[in-house]
Amino acid sequence: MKNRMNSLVFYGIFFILTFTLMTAACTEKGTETKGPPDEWVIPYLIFLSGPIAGDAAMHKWLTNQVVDEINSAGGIAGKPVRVDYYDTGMDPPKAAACMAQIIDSKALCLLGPMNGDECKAAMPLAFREGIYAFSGTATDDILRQFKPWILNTSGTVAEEKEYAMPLWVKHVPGVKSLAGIIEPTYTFITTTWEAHKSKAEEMGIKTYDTIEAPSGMLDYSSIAVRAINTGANAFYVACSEENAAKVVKELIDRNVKPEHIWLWANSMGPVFLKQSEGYNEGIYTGTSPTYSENPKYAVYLKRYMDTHNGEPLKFMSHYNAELLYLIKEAFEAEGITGDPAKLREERIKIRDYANNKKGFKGLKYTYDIVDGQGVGIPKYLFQIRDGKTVLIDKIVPRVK
Amino acid sequence: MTLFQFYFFEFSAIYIMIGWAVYLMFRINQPYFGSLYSMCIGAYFAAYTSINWGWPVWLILMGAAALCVLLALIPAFRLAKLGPFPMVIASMAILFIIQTVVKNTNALGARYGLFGMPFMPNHVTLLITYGLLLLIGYMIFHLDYSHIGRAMDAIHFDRDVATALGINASRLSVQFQMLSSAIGGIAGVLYAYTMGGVFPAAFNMNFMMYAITIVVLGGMYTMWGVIISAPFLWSISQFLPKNMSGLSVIIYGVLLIVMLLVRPGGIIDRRILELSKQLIERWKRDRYIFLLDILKYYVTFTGRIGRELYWLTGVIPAIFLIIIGAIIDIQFLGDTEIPVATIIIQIIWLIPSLSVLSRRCHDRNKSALFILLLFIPVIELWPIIELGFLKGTSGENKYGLDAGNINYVNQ
Repeated sequence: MKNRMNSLVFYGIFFILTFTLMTAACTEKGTETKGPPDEWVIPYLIFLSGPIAGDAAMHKWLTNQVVDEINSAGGIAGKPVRVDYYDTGMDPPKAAACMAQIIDSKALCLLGPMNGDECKAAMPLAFREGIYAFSGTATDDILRQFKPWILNTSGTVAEEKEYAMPLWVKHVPGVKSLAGIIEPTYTFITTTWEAHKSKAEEMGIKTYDTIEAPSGMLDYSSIAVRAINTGANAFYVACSEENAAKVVKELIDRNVKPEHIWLWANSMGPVFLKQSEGYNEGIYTGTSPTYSENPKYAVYLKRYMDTHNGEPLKFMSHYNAELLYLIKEAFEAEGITGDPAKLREERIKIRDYANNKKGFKGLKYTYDIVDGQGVGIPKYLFQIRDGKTVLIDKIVPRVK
Repeated sequence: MTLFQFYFFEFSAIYIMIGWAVYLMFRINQPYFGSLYSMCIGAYFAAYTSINWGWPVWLILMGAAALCVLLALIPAFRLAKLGPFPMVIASMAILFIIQTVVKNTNALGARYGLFGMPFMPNHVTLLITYGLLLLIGYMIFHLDYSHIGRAMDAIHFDRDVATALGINASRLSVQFQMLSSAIGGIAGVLYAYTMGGVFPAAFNMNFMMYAITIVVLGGMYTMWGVIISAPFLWSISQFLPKNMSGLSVIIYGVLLIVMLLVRPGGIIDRRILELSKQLIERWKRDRYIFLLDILKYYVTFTGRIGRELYWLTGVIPAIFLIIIGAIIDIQFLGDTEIPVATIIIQIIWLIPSLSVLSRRCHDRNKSALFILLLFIPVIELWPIIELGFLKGTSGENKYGLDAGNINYVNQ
């Protein structure tokens, strides 16, 4: 009798819950009849919390600067623009739920997602619902997966392959054999290293198996010893800034020539420079936190440094913020109204405009967008001298 | 139903499922996380078979459950003999092995994952998910209240004594590992369909901690706690104001610590379960008088109530009603200027809340006028802390007998 009573309560709860859900699921929400909006709201899918939220804070700061700049110059098609941040916390279900909220809000397009795993969690929904993601930081494998509904302006692996090794070896001809020390936090770190490795082999440089540098180790001496024991005379270091500093110190302590160390893009930044002080003189890298060809970026950089104890922005902070200019161009060129009745049609117009754009003026440099992929992005070779990055060489890759 | 509502309800159900899968093994004092790597296997199985072979969802669900049971069986006999600590280490190690295999298997998309699963309409996904949830819940419920449930209790309190009583703890552990893995596999299939694909980073250490938090918060000794804690934890990350959303992980951590320190049994522990059984008994004896008693309880302004009754009948129902009101206002009534549902609920709840508050004041030997301090900003912290956390006066006071001596059910 007691069990029967409990069963009834159990069934009752679930019946009510299931019935409510099914009723709600089967009920179509009526189309809102609101007219064009008074302001443009651009949702931004970004990890404002989580293990690497510090990077996102820089993106947010720069995005807000660009929003202020656009609004003070009259907004987009005469209306002000506002960016609405959706924090994914780097949690896949939360990223998918945030994308669902963005789609429910009838947004025309969005900024982000920022990170590869966020993209994988949120983009299937965006792809299915047909909303364009202005993601400067997606990688080309993500682009292939969710084309034509996502943009990637962080360059292609093919372009990466064509520049790093040739530029480095041109200036350091002593590089004869290469080992990679990789902290495999993101897919694209491994992909980029594989591309550089294959280019090195094409150039006749002997390469060795990857030395994995796990995150969170207190001491990286064993990793450095393993890398040196391969017999390589040059090293490709791709770790977080903190761990790259530890690895570099261990390598230098074991008499590796600094110019025989190549530092991967994300490893280079203020934290690396500070923590590897006294050990980094002469190291080569492809990025600089303080270099820009565009004076406008230099102004933003100075403003950031003035308000953040002299620390510069990380090299990739401009990727998503500058896409607000592209959104502005797309809205104005395509005569976007924001009328909910034309939502689907206008989303497609935005997508088609953004996927192919010649000579887009970004925050740091000008480049083309072909089939949703930023191409011809200038590549640089810097060397650390007196604790600062000095430009040594530059190429503009042209890869089909 | 909006897309957001769909994701909210769908993930709530998936988290309840995975919470139950973990709970089953906690019941026999073996913190086994096989259900989590089974979830990973189930998700990959769903993605692979639907994309490459075009299998229908029912076949995938059965296949995933069967595969996970078979894979769980390999280490099951050895794991069954382990104590709690080695069990945690062993099952965590298997989780890392599965992750590494998945990350390095090109057929499973390696680090990129598998995408492009066939689209299943949202209402069909919900129907399948809640249908399966009902089925799994029914099964666990009958296990809990059968002779197996009693055997689980015996093993939980002392495995050696249980064995001496003739209970085959190892065999039960093997059976539960298989059941837990099958539930994990099913949850994985539903996860993959909801996300539209799967990738290795989805089943990491954070996910494991999340699953543990669900069970610890809800209660390790009953299946009911998970039904509350899983949607509750998922709501925290979904309904926190945007500028506070970064706090959700901190909130999870604090909840976990506070729960372990203050209430190790979780929200629904054995006492609450016993209390609810007594209430059900009273309902069965005379339901109309029982309902009248409840009504009377909420309109009585004399006498005293202790902290526990204050929280159970005052604070928790109030929080629950506020959440319900907010959900109705935000999700179902749309962008209205006035929160109609919240206001109606607050009006209905006004008298009951005053009744509970005033009797709690009496328990602290204070006049009911003390409640008025709740309306003064900052000062309000005083009555909140005093009424919520401080013990009532010992023995009889001018408002009545010591609240500790009063029987809940007869209240």
